[in-house]
Amino acid sequence: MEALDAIEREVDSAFAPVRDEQELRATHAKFLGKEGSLTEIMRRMPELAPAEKKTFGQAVNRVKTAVEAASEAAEVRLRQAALARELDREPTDVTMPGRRPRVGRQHPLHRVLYDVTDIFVSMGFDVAEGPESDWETNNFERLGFPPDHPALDMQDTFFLHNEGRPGPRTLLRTHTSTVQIRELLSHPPPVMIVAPGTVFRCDDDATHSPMFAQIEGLVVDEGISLAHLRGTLATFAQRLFGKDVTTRMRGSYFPFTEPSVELDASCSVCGGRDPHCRLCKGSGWLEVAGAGMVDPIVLSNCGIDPEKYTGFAFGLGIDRLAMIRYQVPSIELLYSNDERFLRSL
Amino acid sequence: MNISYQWLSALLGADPGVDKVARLLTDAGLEIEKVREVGANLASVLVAVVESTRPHPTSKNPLTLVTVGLGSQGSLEIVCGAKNVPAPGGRVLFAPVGTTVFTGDPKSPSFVLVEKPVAGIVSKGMLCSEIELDLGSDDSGIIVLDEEIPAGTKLVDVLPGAHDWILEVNVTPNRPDALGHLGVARDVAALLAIPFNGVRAKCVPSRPAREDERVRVESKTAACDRFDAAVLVDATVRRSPLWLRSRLHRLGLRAINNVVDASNYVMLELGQPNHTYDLDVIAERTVIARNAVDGEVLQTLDEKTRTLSAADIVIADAKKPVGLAGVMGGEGSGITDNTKRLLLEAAHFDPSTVRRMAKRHEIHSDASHRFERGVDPTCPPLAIARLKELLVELTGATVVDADVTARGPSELAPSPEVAVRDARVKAVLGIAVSRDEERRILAALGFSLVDEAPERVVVRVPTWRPDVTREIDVIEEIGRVFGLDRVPLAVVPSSGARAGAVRDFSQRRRVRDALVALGLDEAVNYAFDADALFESVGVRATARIANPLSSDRAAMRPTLVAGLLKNASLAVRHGEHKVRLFEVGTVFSARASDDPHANERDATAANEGPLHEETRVAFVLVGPRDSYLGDAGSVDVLDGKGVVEALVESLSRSEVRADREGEAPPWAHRAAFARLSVGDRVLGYVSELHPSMRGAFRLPASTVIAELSLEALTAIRPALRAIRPSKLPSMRRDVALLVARSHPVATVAALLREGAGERCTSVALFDRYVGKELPEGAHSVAFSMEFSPLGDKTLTDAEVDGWVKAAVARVVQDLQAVQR
Repeated sequence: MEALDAIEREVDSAFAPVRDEQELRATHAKFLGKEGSLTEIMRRMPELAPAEKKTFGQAVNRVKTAVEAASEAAEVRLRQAALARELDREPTDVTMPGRRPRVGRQHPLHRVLYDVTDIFVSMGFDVAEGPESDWETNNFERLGFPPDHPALDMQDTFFLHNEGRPGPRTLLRTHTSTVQIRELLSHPPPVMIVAPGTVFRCDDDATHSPMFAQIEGLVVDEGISLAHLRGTLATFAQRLFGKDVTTRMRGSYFPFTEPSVELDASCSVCGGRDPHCRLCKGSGWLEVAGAGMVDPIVLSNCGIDPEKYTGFAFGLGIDRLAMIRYQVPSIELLYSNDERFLRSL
Repeated sequence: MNISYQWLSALLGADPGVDKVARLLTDAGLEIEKVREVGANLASVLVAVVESTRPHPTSKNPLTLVTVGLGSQGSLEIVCGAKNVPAPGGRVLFAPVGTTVFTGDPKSPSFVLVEKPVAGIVSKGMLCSEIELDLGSDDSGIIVLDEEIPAGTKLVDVLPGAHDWILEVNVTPNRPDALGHLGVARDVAALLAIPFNGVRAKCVPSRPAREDERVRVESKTAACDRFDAAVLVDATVRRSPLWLRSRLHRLGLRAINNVVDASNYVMLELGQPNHTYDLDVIAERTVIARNAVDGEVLQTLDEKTRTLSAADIVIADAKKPVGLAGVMGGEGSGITDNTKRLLLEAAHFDPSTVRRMAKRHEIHSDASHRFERGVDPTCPPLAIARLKELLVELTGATVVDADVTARGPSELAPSPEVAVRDARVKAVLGIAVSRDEERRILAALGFSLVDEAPERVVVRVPTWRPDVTREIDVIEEIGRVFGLDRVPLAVVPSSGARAGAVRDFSQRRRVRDALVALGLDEAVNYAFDADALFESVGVRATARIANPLSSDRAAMRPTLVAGLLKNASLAVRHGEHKVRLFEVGTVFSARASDDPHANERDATAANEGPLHEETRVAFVLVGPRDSYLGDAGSVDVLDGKGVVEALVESLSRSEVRADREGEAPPWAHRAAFARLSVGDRVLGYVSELHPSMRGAFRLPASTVIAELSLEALTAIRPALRAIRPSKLPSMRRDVALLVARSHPVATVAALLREGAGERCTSVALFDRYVGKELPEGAHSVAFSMEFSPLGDKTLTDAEVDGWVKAAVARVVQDLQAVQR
């Protein structure tokens, strides 16, 4: 019993200096391991008289419990110390840049092109396309451009080397309106398409690029009127510029539409209230699209009865919309492919 | 076309306000691009009479001190630097202090006069030149008026329309009638619904012509269907009065002399080009419109000598051409200061013929601009009458009864009659227009009613609207005057029709999105560039532009690689070390003559163009890999291959195979290129840039490029099938092998996988080592092999070890590898 008392007195001081797992295990073993002092004592139990056994057994259990409790307390202390050590390490300087995957930039023209296309697709239009090179027939004649007419001067054309081949002259399309012809030749009405694409004009100055992007729209069906054109473009303008935008329609001229109109949207920046507005320059209006009712000659050139079917068409310049959205100071930047420009957007 | 609001207002006999007119015209299709206010500074300018002059007492400059009388406002002495100060009694224009005067210098165009000493003497204003008052382009001296006007009169009281607004009208090619004030006024009247009577000429007295005052005119060409001429005698050619000079100046024309100015004035009024000749130099007083003789020579008014062909129409006298019909007059027959007898010409020429002539001779004149759009064929008599009226007033000439009209060999077709159905008007415009309103609009525009029925009207088109020939054209006229902005908004009943002309829109978009997600920036290059650029990457352009902006922008690009390298080069020059650029775009080549799409009809039916067009996907990587505070090395061909692998994985979850087969592109580095395929489709090539091509672009060795076919990239779209992941763990084993470098790593991996059996689900290289201590030509490659359980049967270490052993044995046997 005395030995037991001595062990009990030893317990707390034995666990107090423990500093790691290994010391903890060793200290525990000192009492309860194979050679442990308490184990030694318990091993002597059978030698005791039955009357002593009970008292002694209770005492051993008490000491054993004390050892286990001290061991557990030490373990908790060790765990907390370890946790504190990990948390108290030198904080990371989080002002250092993050390790980030590189983020690519889609070209601003394509961002706008896809946004515009998506708006029309959500309104029920499907996407059509045609080639960038084409024949004079599809670019001008079938669209009703009169031969030798000044209307041809509206679109300075890049002609291609024909290399002596017979047939109509070849060119780089001057507008996406070529897709009107290709779509109308591909199947009978109803037709409801937008045709985004690259077009070319022999023109290079501060406001013109020899290559630029357009999106064409074409709807041909029975009973289509100018009111449908206006409704379509008004919805488009509201989705692109904001729901408070209003539209106006005014007369214009394109050889392949009759009547021809320009559709303007009220200025989304100043609403027409700022005479020095950076966007509308004080006019209060933004030109959105050149448009009109498909000229009957275009329909009949494609084998469609213009008495039965009517339609509307429109064309939008993507470059100008991109320049408005991103405040691009000059059009040439859009084709500079200067990484500093591309990565600024 | 510049339109004077004051002139318009005078023609209309109404003053509706310039803002209103601008808005109405814009809405009706005559877009006003700009309104320029002119003459606001003239309110304070007075007519002054020179009373006396004396030289400046001290100045070395030739300054004059001019005492001018200002009527009730007394007299003032003014310092004047002009050399043309008239003698006492002469009339000049005096601008008092406070008046805005112009400099003619675009940098500082105007200033306000203040009282300050000139060479020591203070003036209370200045005597002004045309430039200083913005009334003309003459800066040779001060304005000296011819008219007898009392001193002290306000200039604005004697100069009609002194304060004016110039409307810059964007006249579309279908509106030749709007190339004169008359046509624009007619539109304004129709839009305002006010009466308009057009332009009438006052009848001027004439006397019988003597024999030597008679002229003979003739048209021998169908391109001239009408030619009117008249003769005036005893003309005095001199400078025009200020009102005419200033009006022409403000509308953008230079004042010449009273005869030429009158001619231009009539053109701006009626839109009818016309010409005046010195009758005394017209051989045999005969004027003929005829085809030129091949090789005939004419010196035009722009002082260029033109060699003519039979396709040209000339105005000729009995001996030689005196003008290019409808385009430009000739040198030597025009009006000089000594001209006394005038021959007036107003004719009508065929639009297409004039356009071809103007194009051929590269002349764009006020006359050709109008004739090629179509001038009212009935206008010449009115133009002649107006010209006579003006010339009598301006030159003091006398009209002689020598008017003649020649008709061409073919009669001009009468203007068409068009039936307009009410139902069609509503069907097109989307709004009904009442019959009354329709009739009012058409009458105001000059259409005459031929017939009327309950469901339609028939109208005759006015002669000044050559663009209107069909019902739809008349509907447009009704619509634009009725007000297009009154058209309501309607929703298209969505047809759900699918597009028929389809190419690769959605494929381009998917690839662009995927490459952006992989951290690349998108470039958009021109489709054309210099031959030399493409040759610098060893590729020859086969399609070219016949009329390029410049010879170095004539080649249609046969590859996207060259453009991207140019872009990368630019970035590196700007100090950017790391470039990641891609482009998805069209490349072009000429079609072979046996190409099924070489003819227009078949190609159009197949939605193809005259050039062979292919969409490519290309990218360029330059410089260090993405890393942080450490050197991860520079990109090489495997970085490029990695981009393609990731792209293909994101597009179709497919595996990319690399080999060195096929014909590598000229820009490929023969030790560091790969042909990439998915299944049996070749995507294209990826490579480090050929060392000999780096110099031209000043790019480093770490330049990797790839060019792939969009079609091949997006054609493979395997049907993906979901797997049910096992709940049991998979097991991994690493094996390292010493193997000859001549065996591609892909072969080693494939053998391992084959040898390991079907439970092996992946074999991935995770380490490669080359070192001197290894046998010559060998490298150590380490693979991580993954094994997955089937169903609910747990894998055991023993069976996995067995599979690995079998796999290694296979490589050892086939490739003489050694396990490490």
